[in-house]
Amino acid sequence: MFFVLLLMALLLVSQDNKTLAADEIRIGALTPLTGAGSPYGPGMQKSIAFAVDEINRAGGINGKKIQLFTEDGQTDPEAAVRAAKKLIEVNKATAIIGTWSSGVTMAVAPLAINANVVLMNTSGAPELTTLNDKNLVFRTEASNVLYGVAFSKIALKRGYKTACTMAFNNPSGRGNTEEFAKRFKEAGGKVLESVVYNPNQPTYKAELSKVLAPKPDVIVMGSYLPDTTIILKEWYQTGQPMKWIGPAWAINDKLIEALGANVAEGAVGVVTVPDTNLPAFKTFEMKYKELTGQDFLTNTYSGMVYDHTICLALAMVAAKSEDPTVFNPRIQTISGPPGVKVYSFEEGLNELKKGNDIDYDGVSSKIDFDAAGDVVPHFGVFEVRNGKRERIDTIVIGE
Amino acid sequence: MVDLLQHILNGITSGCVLALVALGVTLVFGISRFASVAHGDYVTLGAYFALVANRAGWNLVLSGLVGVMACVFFGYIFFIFVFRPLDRRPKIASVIGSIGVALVVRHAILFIWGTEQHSYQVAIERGIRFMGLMITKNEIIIVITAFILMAFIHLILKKTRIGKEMRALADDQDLARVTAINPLQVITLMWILALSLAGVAGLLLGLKSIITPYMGWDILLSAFAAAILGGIGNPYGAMAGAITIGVSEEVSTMFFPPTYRLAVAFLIMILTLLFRPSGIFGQKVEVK
Repeated sequence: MFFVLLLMALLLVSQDNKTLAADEIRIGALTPLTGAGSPYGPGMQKSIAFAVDEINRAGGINGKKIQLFTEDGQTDPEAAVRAAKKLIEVNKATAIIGTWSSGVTMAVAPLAINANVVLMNTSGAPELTTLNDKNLVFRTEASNVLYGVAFSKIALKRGYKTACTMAFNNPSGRGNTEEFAKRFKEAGGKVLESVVYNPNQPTYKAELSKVLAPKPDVIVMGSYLPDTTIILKEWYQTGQPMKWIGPAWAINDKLIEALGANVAEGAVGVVTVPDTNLPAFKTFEMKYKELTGQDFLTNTYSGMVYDHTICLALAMVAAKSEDPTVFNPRIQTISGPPGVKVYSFEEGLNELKKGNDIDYDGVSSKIDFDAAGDVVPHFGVFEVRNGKRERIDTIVIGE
Repeated sequence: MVDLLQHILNGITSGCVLALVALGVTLVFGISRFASVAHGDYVTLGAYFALVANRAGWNLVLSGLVGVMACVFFGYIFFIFVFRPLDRRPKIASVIGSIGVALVVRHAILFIWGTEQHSYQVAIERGIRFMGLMITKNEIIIVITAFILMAFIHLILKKTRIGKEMRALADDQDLARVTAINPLQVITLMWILALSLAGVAGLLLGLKSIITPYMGWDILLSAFAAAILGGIGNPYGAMAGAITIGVSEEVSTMFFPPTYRLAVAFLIMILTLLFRPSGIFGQKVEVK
């Protein structure tokens, strides 16, 4: 115990020297480098560092450079809270960028709000919309409620008249399917049965028989990979023809691998995608390839955190302040209309210097933060065809 | 009516897998007098070793044997280094020890194989239909394997000398010790049986659903419930308890929302224990 205290004391001293001496803006990157988010976290971290680099090369913010501190959230709320505490208390970060899973974001949010620190994340929990966050929490992933809207649009577009839903018993799963049911009914569709199920069951036959019995045109899922694997396996065994729509974190390549091309054929996975028509998209795509060797579209969260960093910097410039309680309303004004369209930090900086309002369009979406700190990205529709996922459509909400 | 029968059939197949786990739990409790929390993770261990063999191109029977051997090997090492030294301590020490073993096994699995889900290399086939009911080939294999193993355990307990010694030790430890029964020999056999059952259960559970690092842990609570329902320490009780829980979970979904299925199964357990405090087949067990 004594040694731990000693170590912490030493750490505090050394960090203080490093952080408080220079006239810098301190930002924390808290991405999942390990755990379930590990396919995305490292790329996200590199993208934040890249954005910081761009900002510093363009002269920084109000004459100050950004210093970035990176931590691993481990896709684990407990570990992420420890890391966030360190970023806030030791590194004196004004903003934390990059929490990925909803569990982590919901756990870190109270800390950030109490300390008046901006938290920019890529989580989908509907609660983040209604959270009493003093306008400090912003996200660029669609709320799970929007997923429900997208599911409904897809089902209607395909001409389905009747549907059943199956939801994993958590806010995200139920958020997906409840909003779907609402929208689908409003548009004249019929929802014949809605089942909510418990996680971690070895079998879902009973639940499945409930949604298969009324023979709907489609079953819409608010689910995750393990339960979806078992459900589709048990469905195939029944031999009843059925169409499936679900989120792409459940209906993905791993699912095809587990079930085989036969079983997964025709299943539709939906996920937010960058708008490839955005002017900044191509540049970032090439840069991301250079940074990580990977395709940007395999890790769209990387573009989101890049946009977080740029928005944060532009808001500080617009407010002429690095105090989150002063610059936070500017995050909305610099990202959304009205204003001159800008596509990078440098362009934004120049327009702001001229005294113009700006509207930043990012690499992941148009990034028009609403009052709740949410955005409305595009949705990509992927169907399993001959054992491969193919992008077949894009859903734009509000059109 | 067909629906009810189908739910009962589904309940029996899940109950059969559960029975193998519950049987292991109850055997350990019967002889060593503690509830082993590690038993669920032994199930997972068996499933993963069978997966390794299956990936190497071995068929399911051989893969299952690899799983069983791994379970027996590692489980016995834990017996020698953890449970045997703790045997003379109060029983709570063994329970806590088993929590430690459970964590070690689970995190070793997480470390080696990661958090991802896996499946055995078996094509998914359409089920077989008869008279409106449906059952899959895998489920038939599961039920037959489970019943053969249960019968095998029955024969060992009833017909062999060491089986009788095992029952004697379960009934009255002190009396057994003074009648020239070698406890170590009996305890060793008990562990081999319980661990083998865990290995087979791992294979069958992985075959029925998917293989994840938490699969055994997730089923453990139901297995404990089954063992208690049947009368803990009683092998036949564990089998009956497991099938009762499996069937009541499935049938309950006809009347209640499926999220309450486990609650209904536990309600049935509570009601049974109110009227038969020592379980369906239970005798009074004294824990020292």
